[in-house]
Amino acid sequence: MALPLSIGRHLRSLLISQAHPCLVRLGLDYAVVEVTGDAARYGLDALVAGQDIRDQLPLMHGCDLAAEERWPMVEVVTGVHADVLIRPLATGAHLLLTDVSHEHAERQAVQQHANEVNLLNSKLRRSLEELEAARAELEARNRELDELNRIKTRFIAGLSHELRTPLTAIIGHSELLRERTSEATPDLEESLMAIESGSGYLMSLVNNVLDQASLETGQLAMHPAPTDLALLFEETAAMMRPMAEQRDLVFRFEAPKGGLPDWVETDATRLRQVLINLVNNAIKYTDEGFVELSVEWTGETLRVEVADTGPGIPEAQRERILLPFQRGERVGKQSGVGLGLAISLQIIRLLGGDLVIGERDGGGAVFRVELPLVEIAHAVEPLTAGQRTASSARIAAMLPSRLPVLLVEDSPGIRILYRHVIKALGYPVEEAIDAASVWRHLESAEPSIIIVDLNLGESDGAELVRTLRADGYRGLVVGWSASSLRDDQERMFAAGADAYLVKPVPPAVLKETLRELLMTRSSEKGSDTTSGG
Amino acid sequence: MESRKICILGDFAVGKTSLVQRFVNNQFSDKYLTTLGVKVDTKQVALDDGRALKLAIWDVAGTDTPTQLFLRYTRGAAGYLLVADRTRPETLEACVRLRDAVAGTLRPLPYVFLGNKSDLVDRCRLQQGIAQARLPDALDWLETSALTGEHVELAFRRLAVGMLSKPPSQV
Repeated sequence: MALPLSIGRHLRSLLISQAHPCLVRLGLDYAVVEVTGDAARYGLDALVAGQDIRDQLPLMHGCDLAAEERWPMVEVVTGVHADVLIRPLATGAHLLLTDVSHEHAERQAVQQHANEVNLLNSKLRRSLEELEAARAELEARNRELDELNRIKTRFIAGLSHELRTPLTAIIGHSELLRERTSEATPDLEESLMAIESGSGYLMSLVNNVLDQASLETGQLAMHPAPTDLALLFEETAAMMRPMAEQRDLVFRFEAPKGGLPDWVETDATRLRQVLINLVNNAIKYTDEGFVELSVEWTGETLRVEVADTGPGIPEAQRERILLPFQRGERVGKQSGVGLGLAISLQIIRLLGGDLVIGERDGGGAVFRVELPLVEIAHAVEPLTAGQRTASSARIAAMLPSRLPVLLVEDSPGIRILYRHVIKALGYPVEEAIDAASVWRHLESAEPSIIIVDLNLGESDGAELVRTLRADGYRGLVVGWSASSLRDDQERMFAAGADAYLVKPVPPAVLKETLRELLMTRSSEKGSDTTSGG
Repeated sequence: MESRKICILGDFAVGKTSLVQRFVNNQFSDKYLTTLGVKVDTKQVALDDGRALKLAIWDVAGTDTPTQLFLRYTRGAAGYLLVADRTRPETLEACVRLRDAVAGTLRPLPYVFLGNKSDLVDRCRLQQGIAQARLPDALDWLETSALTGEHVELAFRRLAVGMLSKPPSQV
């Protein structure tokens, strides 16, 4: 671009006024020859001819004067940011400094911002990595906890099994003793009562601990079935009344005026357990007065109240005593570990309802249960006349005396007990203690019903059932165990069992279970009910 | 008195300027101010054998990528300090790249590795053993803190001794 001389002069003047150049001519030995321009701006105003430039301008240390060099944005001693140019000469070099402070300030601000953003990103990335690491660690800990919980549950189940098996024998044999002793002396009666009371208490403790462990691990499954509510409440009241009277308490129960639905769908066993827990608790902590069980049906919800004339429960303690292993401050010397109410609350919630504690008008506590329930038409359709005839014929073919039972149980006490119970129900009974003895038995005779304990010492009851089914055994199989864990029940059913019972199995329950299974099998297959029948 | 140009190199915000300020002026500011271009300071170090060396310290703008401009700033240096931030392990890799560029473009120069910000004990994630493995040719590997001054003086002295122990043609 060709510029008029005057314009060129103007531009030169403009550049000099903005760039504030300082030109230093150097000899080959770094000695200053001449300084022109704005030397003060760069701290070079004290330079004198012959002086080593490196004394005043340290950036010249290590600099090769024979090579052209340019360093942009060098901060010098005055704080000015200079563009430094070194141009070799035959006799040394020219050193040119120009002020780029303005450009530096602008670019520095941009760079500062970019670096700060990068630092923030880096911190964010690190935080995310730490979060991820923390999450992974938490997951690992959770897995460990799950495993520990599983071990704990298995331990409790195992312990419970070990405790319940001898307890079942004690309770069962004391009942047998009572049956066999037609005229018990007062001393014998007293001893039997002590055995029954002590073993019953121990059994309830063991059951509660196992239930709590099962609840904590989601192993306590509800089994809704058609339930006769009126019967359930009458039975519960009949069971609890003597306990109240034993403590000189009045027990009140009246059937609801509006009545109860004939049949509802719920887990009767668990609902009964809750009612017993609540009434038992009321009896335990009431010294005089009464305990009242009342029930109301709204058409959709069952409302149950258990009220007492005991000391009541302060409001501040009401939530706490519904937690596991927590007991009220007024429990005194009453025995217990603080599980009954906690288990009751959890069962009611599993059934879809709620349990709250309140104060009875006139003093005492009241436990209120609200449980939404679905009313169903009939549990069992009535039989027609023709069906009744056919059924009678089938039932005749199912006489217990014609249905041999093989009892597979490794515990001698339980085996002896249920040998008597099964015999008393009318079934011929043979015994086996493990899988090997079952196969030996099957070589000579095939039973109609096999009752198998899940835990057979060295053998696994579920595995035995699975092998029996695989081998073609078509008779009824009832699995039982002292364990009520859902996993154990499912394992037994998956192996091919027709029913699963939790020990101790009352004779009536065993009788009813066998009857129902035989009826069902009979309905399905006609009179040829069982392979051995 | 002998003099040498040295550079202090490393990624941005690893604390290079703070280390120089601690060494030259015995000052520390926790305010982060990005260096753009280069700032040159001088300081004389007295060595154990009685010698003294004047250092022209080039505090070069931080980068994780060795650009042509970066290499122009380092030309003429007799040695350098290579700085990583111990709370940001990725800044060690920037050191490795810068070391490779200096050695490849200029020539292998003596250097001391500094793992800086050692005062941030809870956040330090860069261990010295890793730095030693990645930069085995360093004169030394020091854990430094511009805040407390830990090993700052020592770092410059180690480099000074290292440079002086080389024949003049190599520095």
